[in-house]
Amino acid sequence: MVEEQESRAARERRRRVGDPFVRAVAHLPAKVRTKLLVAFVGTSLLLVAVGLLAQLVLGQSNDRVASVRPLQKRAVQYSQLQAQAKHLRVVLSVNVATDFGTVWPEVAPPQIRGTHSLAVDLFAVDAARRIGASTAEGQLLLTPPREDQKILDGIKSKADELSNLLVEKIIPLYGDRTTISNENAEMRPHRAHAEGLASDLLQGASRLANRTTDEIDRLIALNASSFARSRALFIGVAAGALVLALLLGFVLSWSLIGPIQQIDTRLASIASGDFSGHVEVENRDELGALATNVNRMNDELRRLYTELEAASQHKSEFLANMSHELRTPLNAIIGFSQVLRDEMIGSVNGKQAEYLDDIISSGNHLLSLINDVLDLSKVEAGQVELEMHPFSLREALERGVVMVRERATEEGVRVAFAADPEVDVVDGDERRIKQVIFNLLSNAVKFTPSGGEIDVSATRVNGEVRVSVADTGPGIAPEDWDRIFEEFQQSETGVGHREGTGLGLALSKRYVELHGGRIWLESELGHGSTFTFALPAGSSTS
Amino acid sequence: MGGALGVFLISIVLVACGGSNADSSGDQARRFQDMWEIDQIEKDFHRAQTQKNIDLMVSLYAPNATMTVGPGATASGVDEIRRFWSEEAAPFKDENNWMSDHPAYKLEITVNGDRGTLHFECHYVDIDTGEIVSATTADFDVARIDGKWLITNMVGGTTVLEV
Repeated sequence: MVEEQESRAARERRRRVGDPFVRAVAHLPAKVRTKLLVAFVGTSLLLVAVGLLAQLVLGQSNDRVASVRPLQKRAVQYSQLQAQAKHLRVVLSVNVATDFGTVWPEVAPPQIRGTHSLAVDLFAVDAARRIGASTAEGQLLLTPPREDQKILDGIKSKADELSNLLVEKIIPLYGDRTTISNENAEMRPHRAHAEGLASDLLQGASRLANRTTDEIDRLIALNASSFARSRALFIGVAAGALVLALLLGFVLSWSLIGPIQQIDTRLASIASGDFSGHVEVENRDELGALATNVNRMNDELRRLYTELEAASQHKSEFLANMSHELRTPLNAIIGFSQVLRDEMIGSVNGKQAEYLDDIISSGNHLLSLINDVLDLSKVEAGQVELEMHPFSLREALERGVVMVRERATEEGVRVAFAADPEVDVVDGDERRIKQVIFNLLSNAVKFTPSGGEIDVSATRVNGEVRVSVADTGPGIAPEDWDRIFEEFQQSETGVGHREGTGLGLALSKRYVELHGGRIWLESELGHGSTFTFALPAGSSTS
Repeated sequence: MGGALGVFLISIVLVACGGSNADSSGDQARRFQDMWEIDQIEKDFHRAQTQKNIDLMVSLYAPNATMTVGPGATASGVDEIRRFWSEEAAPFKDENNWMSDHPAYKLEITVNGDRGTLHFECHYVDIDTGEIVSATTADFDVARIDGKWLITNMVGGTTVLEV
């Protein structure tokens, strides 16, 4: 399942990296820094463009709103003019003539029915004069357009004509009276003419007001339309800028991430020891150079690894051969020395016996060293095959303790052993595990001063069997904890010691790891050391 | 990805170039339609008087309309207007057999959105004698209320018979 997901992710990555836009950007012969700079500048320019466009749109909208203001002012003035004309029209209608009285014979109060009033006509004169004066620029407080001016001139002319008609023709007919009969034949045509002029004034003022309000309506509609277009344009450009910025980010990021992922995958393969492949990056920037260097490093590591592998093989073979060649004559030396020492072929004096003991002791030491080298060589050459079978770990530990106890006692060191009841049989190569136990115990005895103690314990923890050998020796500095498990390496204390080859712990580590276990050290200078190895409990039984 | 991007950009251009556009021909057609509907007020006004159809006459006025037909004679609201026409107006009197009409060239209409003005002369002919018994004028304010053009104000007046 995990492999399938990884495979799918790899395919997706290849697909994105294979995108023509991504490849085009990757092919650009520019540094990553330059590409990033261009992307940031490009995005910033898009933002600036959107901002400028917004400014432009808002400015146009503001201009359009500003253009409505003078029209509104003009409309107010014309509406006032229209109201004055309507008022004059109503005033004149009060003094209705005969014909209207025919249609509405009885609506007027009886006291004034059938009469015209001088006061009303005088009031109408004032109203007409006010209308005439209102058409002047000084009263309107604006400069009307040419078309409006023509109508305004017409209104003024009609108003003047009406006021003159009232003053010169109608009012003189009253004479000394305040009222006059609407049956007056001389009055009637003048009255009709006056009402016609008033109607014309109203029509003219209405035309002006309507023209202006129409223009406002048209401008508002145009504004709405322009605003909608501007808004659509702004949204379009903003969306386009957003898409371009995202596209830019996507393409640029994948032109960088893709190669980085490829290089990372290759480095992971190299780290796991696979030098067979090459990373294929088409970038012509730093990442391209990095990929080239990774490939060169891969090739160089492959060459070195091959050479090291061969050298290691040769070393192991050499050591194995040499150990074998050395051990054969050494066995003869030890064997014949032992024969001489045992006086099997004649008596030896005290000095000869002492020298023979030295030869035998040195020979055994050399044989032990050669055996360790041989074992280590076999492990490194992969020639060691564990003989796994159940054996009693408890017994192995007890025997190991017995083997070192005599020497420890001679050195004044006490050895204690304690094992949990559930620690007994484990699966493993009994001979190798015993060798590990003996190495650890020998080291403990070797480095524990007289009067010291060695505690050997075995426990079962979290599915493991742990064996610890704790001593009260000089301890090991933390910087030496890893090093002492390497071949021919000893701690500062060990280097100064007369015994030891520096192979015991290395070999022990190899054997434990061959069993799938681990070995480690806890120590403090001046407070002793504790070596612990853990083996998988496996089929071990208590 | 390139194809999808192209479609997106084209959409943006279409959106940017689209939007509402002022249709002047549509506005003009609407204006003519309004003027025709206002003209129908004048037609119904004269038909209502000729036929003595008071309901038709009242239906031409807005609920709160005003009507001035003489000194101190202003009706406010359709109830008063109905009473004025049915009780005070000579064309609706049983004894009068008048036909009401207007000379076409004496008609003026203005429109401004939902408001307008209407002016016409009104000639009354006695059907029995064939003589013109009266010639009057009227100025109206009209408004479109609930989609229908109605009279909101009327001022009556007199004129000189020119025919």
